[in-house]
Amino acid sequence: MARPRTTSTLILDNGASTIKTGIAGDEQYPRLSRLRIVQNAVIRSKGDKTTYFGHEFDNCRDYASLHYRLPCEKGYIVDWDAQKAVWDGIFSEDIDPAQTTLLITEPYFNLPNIQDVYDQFMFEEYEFAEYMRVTPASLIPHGSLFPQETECMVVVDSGFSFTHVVPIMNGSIVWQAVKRIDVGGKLLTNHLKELVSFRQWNMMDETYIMNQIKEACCFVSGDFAGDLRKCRYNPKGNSIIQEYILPDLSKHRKGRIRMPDDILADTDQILVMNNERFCIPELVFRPDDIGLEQTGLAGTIALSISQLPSDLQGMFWANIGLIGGNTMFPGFRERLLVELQTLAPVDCDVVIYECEDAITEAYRAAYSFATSSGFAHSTQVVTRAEYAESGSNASRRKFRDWKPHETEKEKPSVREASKLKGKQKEDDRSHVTGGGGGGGGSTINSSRLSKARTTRTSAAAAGTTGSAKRR
Amino acid sequence: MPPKRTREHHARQAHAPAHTLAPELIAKRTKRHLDELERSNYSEPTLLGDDDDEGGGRKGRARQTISDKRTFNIPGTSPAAKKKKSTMNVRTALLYRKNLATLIEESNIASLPPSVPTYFTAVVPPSSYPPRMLCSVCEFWGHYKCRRCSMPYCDLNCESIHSETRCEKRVI
Repeated sequence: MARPRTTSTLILDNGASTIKTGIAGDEQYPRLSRLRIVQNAVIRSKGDKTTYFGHEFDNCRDYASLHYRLPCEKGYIVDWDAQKAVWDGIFSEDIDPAQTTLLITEPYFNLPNIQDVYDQFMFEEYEFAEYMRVTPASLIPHGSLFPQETECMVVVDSGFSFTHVVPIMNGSIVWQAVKRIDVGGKLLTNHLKELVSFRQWNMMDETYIMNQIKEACCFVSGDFAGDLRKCRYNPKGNSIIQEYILPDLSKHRKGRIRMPDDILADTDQILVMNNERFCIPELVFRPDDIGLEQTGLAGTIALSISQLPSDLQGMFWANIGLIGGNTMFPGFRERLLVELQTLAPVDCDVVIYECEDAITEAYRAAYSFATSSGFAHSTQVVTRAEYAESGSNASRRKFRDWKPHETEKEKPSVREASKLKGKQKEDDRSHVTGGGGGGGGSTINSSRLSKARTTRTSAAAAGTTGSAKRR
Repeated sequence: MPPKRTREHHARQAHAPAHTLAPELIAKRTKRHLDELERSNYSEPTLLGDDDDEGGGRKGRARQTISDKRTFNIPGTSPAAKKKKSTMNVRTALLYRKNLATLIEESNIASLPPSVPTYFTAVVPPSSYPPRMLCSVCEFWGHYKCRRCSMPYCDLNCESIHSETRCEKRVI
């Protein structure tokens, strides 16, 4: 199908904490070609008595006691109202959606009913010319995280909501081996709030300030037991302790770590960070410190790689990449390397790559993808015409993700004939469209729902053949 | 026989936990703590447990969307540019907010065949190492557990702090 000519591509790395956005490929909007990082939240400030939507948050003066309304719950968009409010703010800067291609990221294992709503928003509400929805890890092969071209890589994406270990083989994600740990930046900040509120000042309302403190003071320790001992036996004068001077909002002074020659004014409040500095990021490596029964990051990577073909595992161990804001703690990479070396087979090298700015790495990979010729001729982009014709089925057909994929050869009319065979495609169709109506394709599928239920006994065999076919 | 009786007596004492909590209660408390850690905004925990903030729906399900109140300009004639009315799908998505648990149920991924990787199968299994006990007050190694509520503590100072402030005498 011929794609319409569009003038530019809008890239949205739609994270749960921040949205990284920019325009690729056209100098008509030079102001926006540069990357913008926008808070993905609707924030009410009691001090300023205003509500900030997304990018307006830069104008906020009073950071105390902010009330956050986050569109994402556990990483998936559930509050479309707030998300639309943030998107309106981003799109309102002179972008003409009818002439723009959109490249947007979605979380891993995104639910089918949520994916349908993405399509509805993009085509029915904003009326983009065409769009493409991908996961952040699938963009990484186009970026520069790995210095040389490699076919097998493992991407560790640790963000605000959770951490995923994503193996990629030949440019596509191996979904069977993708693993998730439910520890993300949000959990770490909330845990820090609890610890500090119990021990020193009540900071339970101060999400923004605690986030700043976490990013400024916390690090990953290479020797947890040794550092704990240091903090314990020398509570005031050890090498780890740091004092953080809380921001003074009446004078608009930002918070900072106290340097040895800082003179304190009388009105300054001090927060002492002792073993909280390294106990908080420790949760990524040992979630069971707070009772979350999941393996730590090193064990998860080992588990994920062990589910891949055994002759290639050496290559996977040697190509591990870190993205996501939560990996930016000092000492993260070294600690992970040490833990992985104890778990990897003896003859495998463990090599971990990281980038200068893990938060924007997915965006930069998306940018190089969007400006490459592969994107311009890609068959995976869904256009408005295709959506008008077949609804969300167009995007289900084109975007490769965790759902079992039907073959490209099948045309929409043939689906009626395959009813009688009871193959795996029916099973997938009926399950995938089970929730939420979407575009035009739903009428065909709902009539086949009853058929699919009776053929459930053959589904087990059909399911395995389906996944085998996908390989 | 006296030796036998004392041995039995000691054995019985060792096996009789004085006031420790049942594991289900501990698990429930941990789960409640983890859910609290997932919230965006802090509010005082009530006995029944609060839901996440309702935002616009607090005033008895008012059918207003916050995104309508903004002023912006998007070129073109799309509904977002306020030249046309939004479609039914979009309006439904905007007004009726569902939380993640509902969406997961609706998407029926639990009923897919086990060979298909889904949100549920992607979760990593529990660790093969036992958890390390850290003191709930000062985060050092917690070698001892509180008799009433099984929270770990490291020494007598932390134990006194714990029983004065946080010990759950009546665990919910």
